[in-house]
Amino acid sequence: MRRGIAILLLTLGGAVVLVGCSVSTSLVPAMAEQDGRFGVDTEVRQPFYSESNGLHKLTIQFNPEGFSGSQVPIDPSRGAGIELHYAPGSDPRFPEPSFHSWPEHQEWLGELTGDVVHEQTFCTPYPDLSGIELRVATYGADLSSGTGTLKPFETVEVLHLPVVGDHVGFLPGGSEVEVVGSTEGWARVVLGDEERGWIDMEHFAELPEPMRSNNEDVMLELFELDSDEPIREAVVNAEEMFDISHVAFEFPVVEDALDQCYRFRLTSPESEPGNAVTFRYDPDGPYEDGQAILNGDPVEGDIVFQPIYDLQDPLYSGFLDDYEFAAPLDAFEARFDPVDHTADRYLEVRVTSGEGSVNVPWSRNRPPGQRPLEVVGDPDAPGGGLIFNAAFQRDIPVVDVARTSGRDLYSRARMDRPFFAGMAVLLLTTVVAGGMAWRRSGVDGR
Amino acid sequence: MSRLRSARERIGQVFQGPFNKWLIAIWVIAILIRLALAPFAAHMDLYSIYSRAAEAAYDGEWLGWGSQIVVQSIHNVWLFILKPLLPGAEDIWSATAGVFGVGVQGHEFERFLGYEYLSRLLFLLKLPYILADLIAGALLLRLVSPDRRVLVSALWLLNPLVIYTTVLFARHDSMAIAVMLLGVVLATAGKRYLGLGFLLLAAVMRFFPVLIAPFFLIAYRRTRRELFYLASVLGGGWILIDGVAWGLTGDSPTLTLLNRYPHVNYLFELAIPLYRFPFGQTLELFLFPLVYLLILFWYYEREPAGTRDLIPAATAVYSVVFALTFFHPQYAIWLVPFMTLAVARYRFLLSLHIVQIILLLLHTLQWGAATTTELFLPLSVEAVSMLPDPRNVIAAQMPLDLFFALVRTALAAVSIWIAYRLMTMSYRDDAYREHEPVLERSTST
Repeated sequence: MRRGIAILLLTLGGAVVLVGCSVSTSLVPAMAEQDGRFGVDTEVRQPFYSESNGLHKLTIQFNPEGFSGSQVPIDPSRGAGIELHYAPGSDPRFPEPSFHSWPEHQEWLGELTGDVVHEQTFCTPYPDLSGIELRVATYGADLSSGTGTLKPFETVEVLHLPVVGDHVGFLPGGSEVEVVGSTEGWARVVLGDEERGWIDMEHFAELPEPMRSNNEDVMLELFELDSDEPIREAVVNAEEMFDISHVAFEFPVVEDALDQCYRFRLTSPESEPGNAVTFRYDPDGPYEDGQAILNGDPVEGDIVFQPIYDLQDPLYSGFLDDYEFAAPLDAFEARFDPVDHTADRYLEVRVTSGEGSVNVPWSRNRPPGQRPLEVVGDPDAPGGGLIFNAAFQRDIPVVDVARTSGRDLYSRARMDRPFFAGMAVLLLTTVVAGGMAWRRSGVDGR
Repeated sequence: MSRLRSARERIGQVFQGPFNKWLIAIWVIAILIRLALAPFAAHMDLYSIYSRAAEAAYDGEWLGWGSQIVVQSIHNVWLFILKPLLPGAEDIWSATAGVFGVGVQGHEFERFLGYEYLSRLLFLLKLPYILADLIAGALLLRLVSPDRRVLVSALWLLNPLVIYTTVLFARHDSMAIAVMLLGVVLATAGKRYLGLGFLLLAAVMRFFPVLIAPFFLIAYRRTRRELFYLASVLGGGWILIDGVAWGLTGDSPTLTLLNRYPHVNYLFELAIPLYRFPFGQTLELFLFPLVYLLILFWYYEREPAGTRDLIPAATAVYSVVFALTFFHPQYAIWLVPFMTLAVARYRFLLSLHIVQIILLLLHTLQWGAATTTELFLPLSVEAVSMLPDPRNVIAAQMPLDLFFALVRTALAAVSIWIAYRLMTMSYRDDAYREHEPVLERSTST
């Protein structure tokens, strides 16, 4: 009987080991402490890093006005929706640094003329790939230093940085201003002895003459990793590119890009020296899933790039009013079918208000990934994180854990053979000595 | 062959009798478990204490770290002895482990894990702990009758709490436990003052033996006058040392312990607020000191005598410690030595202790991967990274704070119940009709 039970247990244990275990794990051990609340009339988005696959539960804190937590109304959120999306824009794995950062160790590749071919391999953890964003320089094709004239009749705002900088001041329409450079299609202007600012070049009626003109097509072709047949291509004329700025090469969506690896190729067959652009390159090679191939030579570094996605469908969609109130957590939660392909990716929870505003608590502790929440249409939203948790149906790769442990153990044994040989002798001696003592010893408890 | 036989007889003398098959099996399995696991698991604490020892062994700063000086000195000397066996190990230690309030940095520990001879290093670093484990096991056998040796050996040597602390977490507490048990064995054998000396040495090594020192004095006193003198000498000595240190350094060690040392503060964590002082602070009633003193008074009134009466009291005290104070998981080993002796006398405690062990292991999950899966980082960093944090597994099922509160409550209930049962059963009046000699010259169970 005992032997039978032992065999059964061993069989079950073996089966578990061979098949692998599955366990539900949470995103964070405990939801963050609340530091404040704010009302949302539009949509609040919270990107986060997901370590595991199989996201199947969301738990979120929200408190509509007048709801104390002790009596849950039928429609606590008044029709608010909740969705889960991929958030590739928050994913830091690609070599593209933050928008305004131009690290000094990075360099320009040199003019992309007709005889030059630059390539970069990469893998995409998200579907619906629709383009590649690069950093380009045009050798002063926007303007040179000198005096520019603003368009008449409109007051122009000057920012501390291009596109999204803080407000510096205003200049009256038609005024002349000293221009000393450009980036992202914005001109850098001198406001006073020490003060500088940025004005969108569209506000200028006249700018200093550019240092040169580039007018040939630049082509980006997308290949599957080991193929020479392009599956997508995008062309941008060099004339449309701004100096020291981002440029997007957009192509029809590659829907099945999830977990696929590709190679993109940059060429400009008609360009010649003096009529060509250049792209940004990071010689340190920060990108782990690919590398640059410059004129056919694989190198350590990476072209500075970021994939562009056209993600439409949410991974999960629901209504907060359908969520059940979990009293110990003072939060609402719902389970749904596990969502695949969430491991090692950035996701985003989006809460969209319904008939009324949603009162959302926030915390200074952001979720994994450390990205701040964003509220659509409200740049002054708190810079903290949404208070929520998620659960994943996760496989524990028992076989892989055992195999990896065995491999590393073997590796250690090879590195220190005398010790492991001694250890084997010690273990063997203990067993043998124990066995001998067992044979010679009594059985009566003495 | 005759040499083998004489060696066997000598070992047999240590065990006070010929071998038993099951006793051998338990000891062999216990040794095998320790040998097999020692090279592949450790907590950052091990790296921390040996990094401080490296300041002595490699740089000659033998008194660089003033805290826990006895334990630290043992590590200093041991690492100094090991140096020739550890090629290239001079650069693997933490530069900040000895800086109070800073400690080991993550990248330093990663460097340690990357050491070429890491398995050998871990095994050698833990060797004193393993030996202390075995010595403590042997000492425990001196405190029970032969028919209980198998049980006591199993409860100590195969106890998950002991294996966890000594081999997996790699803490040095078993060294202080062995010294404490040596003190008890010596006192049992009639060498009371020597025994007291070892108990005090253990108390200098780790704080926990301090808690049973009053019980020890009471259990082994011959007369009340002797007890008074001993308590006066110890108390007076403490005050004298404290006063001298205060005069020399401007700081009282006692007050420094009370004001700064977090582990002392843990004893006062559980408190009932009584009223607010006019200056805004709250007067609190500390629960653990209250219960501890109650046990001590109750114990004193029962006129306990010898080891037989020390064991239940010490078991009760340590049970109450782990019921009413905050503690880190590696300290739970202190629950075990007297518990094994108590279980040997009262078998009903076995099931309660097993429940205690399960609850303590669950309690350990509170610190997540740091005290569970990450202990195996020396085996394989990559394999450990594949495993989920136990806290996240629990949190996916229920709120973490609720889970650990329930575990802790159950642990407190079981531990207090053990203490209560032990106290009431061990010191009933009828047990004292026949007074045993105050100092036992043979084991009495």
